[in-house]
Amino acid sequence: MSDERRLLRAFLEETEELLEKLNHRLLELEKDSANLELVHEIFRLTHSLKSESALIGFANLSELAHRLEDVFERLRSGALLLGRELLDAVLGASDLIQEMVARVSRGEGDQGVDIRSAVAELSRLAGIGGARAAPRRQAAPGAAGGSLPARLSDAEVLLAREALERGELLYALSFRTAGEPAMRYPRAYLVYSNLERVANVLKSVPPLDLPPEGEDGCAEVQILFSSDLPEAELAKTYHVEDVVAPELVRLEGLPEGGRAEAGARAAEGPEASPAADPASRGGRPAGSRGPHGSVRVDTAKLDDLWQLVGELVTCKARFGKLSSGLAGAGPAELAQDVEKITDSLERVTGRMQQAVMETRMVPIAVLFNKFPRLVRDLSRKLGKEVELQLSGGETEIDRSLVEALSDPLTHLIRNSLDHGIETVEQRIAGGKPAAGRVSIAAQQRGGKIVIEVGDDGRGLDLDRIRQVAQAAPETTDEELINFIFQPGFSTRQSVSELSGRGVGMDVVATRVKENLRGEVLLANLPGRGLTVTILLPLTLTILHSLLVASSGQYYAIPIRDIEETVQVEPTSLRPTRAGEQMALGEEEVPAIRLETLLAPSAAGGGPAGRPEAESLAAAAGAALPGGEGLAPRGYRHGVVARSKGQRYCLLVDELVEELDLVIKPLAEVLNRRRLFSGVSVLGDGRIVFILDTSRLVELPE
Amino acid sequence: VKQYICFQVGEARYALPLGPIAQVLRFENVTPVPMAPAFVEGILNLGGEVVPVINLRSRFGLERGAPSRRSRVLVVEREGAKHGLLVDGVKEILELEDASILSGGPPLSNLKAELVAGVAKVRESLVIILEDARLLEGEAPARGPAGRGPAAEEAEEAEEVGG
Repeated sequence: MSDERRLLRAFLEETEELLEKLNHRLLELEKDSANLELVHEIFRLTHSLKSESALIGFANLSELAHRLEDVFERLRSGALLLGRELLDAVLGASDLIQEMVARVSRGEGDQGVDIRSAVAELSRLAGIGGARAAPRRQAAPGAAGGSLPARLSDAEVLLAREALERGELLYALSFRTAGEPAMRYPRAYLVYSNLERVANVLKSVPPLDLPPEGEDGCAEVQILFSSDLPEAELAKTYHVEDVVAPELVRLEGLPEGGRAEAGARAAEGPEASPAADPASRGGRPAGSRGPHGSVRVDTAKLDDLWQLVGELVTCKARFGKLSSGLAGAGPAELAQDVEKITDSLERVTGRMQQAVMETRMVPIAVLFNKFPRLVRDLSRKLGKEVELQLSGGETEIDRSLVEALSDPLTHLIRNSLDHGIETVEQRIAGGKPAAGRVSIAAQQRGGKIVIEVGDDGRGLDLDRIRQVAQAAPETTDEELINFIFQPGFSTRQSVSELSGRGVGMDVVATRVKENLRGEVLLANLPGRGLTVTILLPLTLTILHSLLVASSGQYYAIPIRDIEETVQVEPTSLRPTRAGEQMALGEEEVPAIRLETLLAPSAAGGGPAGRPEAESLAAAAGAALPGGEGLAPRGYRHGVVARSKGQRYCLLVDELVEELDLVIKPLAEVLNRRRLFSGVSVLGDGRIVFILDTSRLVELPE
Repeated sequence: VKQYICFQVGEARYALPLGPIAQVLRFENVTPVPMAPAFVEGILNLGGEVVPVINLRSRFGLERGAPSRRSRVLVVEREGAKHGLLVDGVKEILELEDASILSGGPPLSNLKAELVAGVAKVRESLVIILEDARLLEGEAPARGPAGRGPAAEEAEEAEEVGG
């Protein structure tokens, strides 16, 4: 990868993080517009955004970020009040920034987005002139001395006071830059950004957040900042090549007019600081100051690592087989040794699997963060009042799940707002609080991630579903609820811009089931709300399975899909019109022979020419004619699973073993019926098909 | 001059550019895929990678026939993904000049024209140069003129169901 691309990638990673925080804070600010801390933080975020994008040369991006920064600078100084109109403009601008960053990440640059009207709007509302922060670019100060020559703005004075109140100390750092003129600004900027990371920079002369106009604009620099760090730590920030004659002066306070007076003593110079290497200190690529430290790793590398662990798991299984094969066969000592090694291999592999899996985990908050904005925009559009409650954001999920979950969750939230939450009038008339509540909660429960999207709206209108579905009068409520999982089902009469387009729950359910191997459950309280629960496996690529044999071929069934395994007496199977049945506890359930299901032709031939013959129908058809299909085979084992809520028993020749399988996808063309959720390679190199028990069987009505 | 691998399917000889051929394997350990289209012979475990194997006899509309000692699987790699082609035997490596390859389909063949890149005359007999990309495309449920016609698709479905 070229340096440029690496730089761009680092920029994108950082910017996406910044944007996410920005969005989040902006929404918090909307609820709590008097919160000065938020204003400060947003100011810092917009500032970083501006500097980062200016540094890498995205002029549009940096321009718009700069406007936002100006707005927040004025907000934090109290020169501006945050109103509805301004907030909308700010949010609009942050959308544009988002779009530009998206374009940049697609390699299209930041020029394709028209920011002019946004810039004008922000300038108008903030009462800032069109010229780019011209007043801030003042003449270079005189020689560095005991006082800060530049006047501080009211805002800067305010910030300095606050810092002093927090117990921080005020410092003025002055230095000169030597070396090539072209490198002076980058050097000075490095000091500036180093300081920004550890201290609260109030002002710099010249302003370092943008390149100065003249080449020697950075010959002499003064930075005013506050910090609670020891001076030796601060000294590390200006230990930068070609930064000469640094002088760190502690200021004793802010006298009238904002002119800071020098303190009694000068701080020690950089030579006093212990082995301060700016590269190791700046920690730029990591971007984290957490106590453990962290590094950014390309996700492709993590994926590779994960693949390798998968192969290791397969090797381990193979070794285990070898070990049990050796037991009793070879020399006892050898067998014991192999067993021991196998045991430790198993332990190490298990821990490694866990460890690598954890590197792939990210807090689900990265996904949740975009929902406050969504809810805000939708509720305004719909004229409803909605309060969003997020919880469990710290729950960690596999990063591959984040993207795959985004659409389904977005859809559920849209559904809640559009169909679930009533209008304010309706709610009040119904004795509910005016503001509806939508909650998204995540947690890890057992081996699963549980995500609940709930609302206190009207719930599902079962009568309406009954009407739309033209359901028979005896259809139960539970069956009715299942209708909303049917493709294209929607109870919405008018096609709304939101979720009433008939692509609804079926899409959510399909995505969750097929892409995420999860489940979707509904809890409906008519008139009081609907909660949709999504259950997901912790990881996508390793699956705990039961290996079964049928007609000499192995198949795997995910353990989570198995309700129980049962012993089956051939005599307990009773032929019916649709196939066979057997008693399971109190219930009669369909009994389905796996081999017939997968090779209907071998057992007599299904109805030819039907392009989408249901597997079961084919299997049943095979068994029907005069009962000759009912080969007198000694089925001894059954696996009980469910399809569309209906239990059935899958008959197999043998239950082989339970094991962890690494799933590999099966080419679409080989799997048009979607009978398999993938394939896996066993320790001995044999391929097994992983059965999708919910797809395998099309149970008749 | 380009190198081609020349192989036999049924009575006829075919060739593919040697470049994308990653491996030539004996026909063994191919696991049949239940309920897959008829032209799929099965899947193969190639060092942990699961590779679909296409039966070229079926693909060309010939009777499937039992694999023999001479049967081979050509492993073709395209865009990082591998596919196997089951053929009745590998003959030789040919060096052909572009000019010696005549465009247009073979005169007497039920082969679909889009699968054929050209024909070359090698020692008085014809070798059909296949369009390897199209061969692979056919694996997907392709639509429109580039893929198999709807009739072929229907026939296949019927085969799958009825056997």
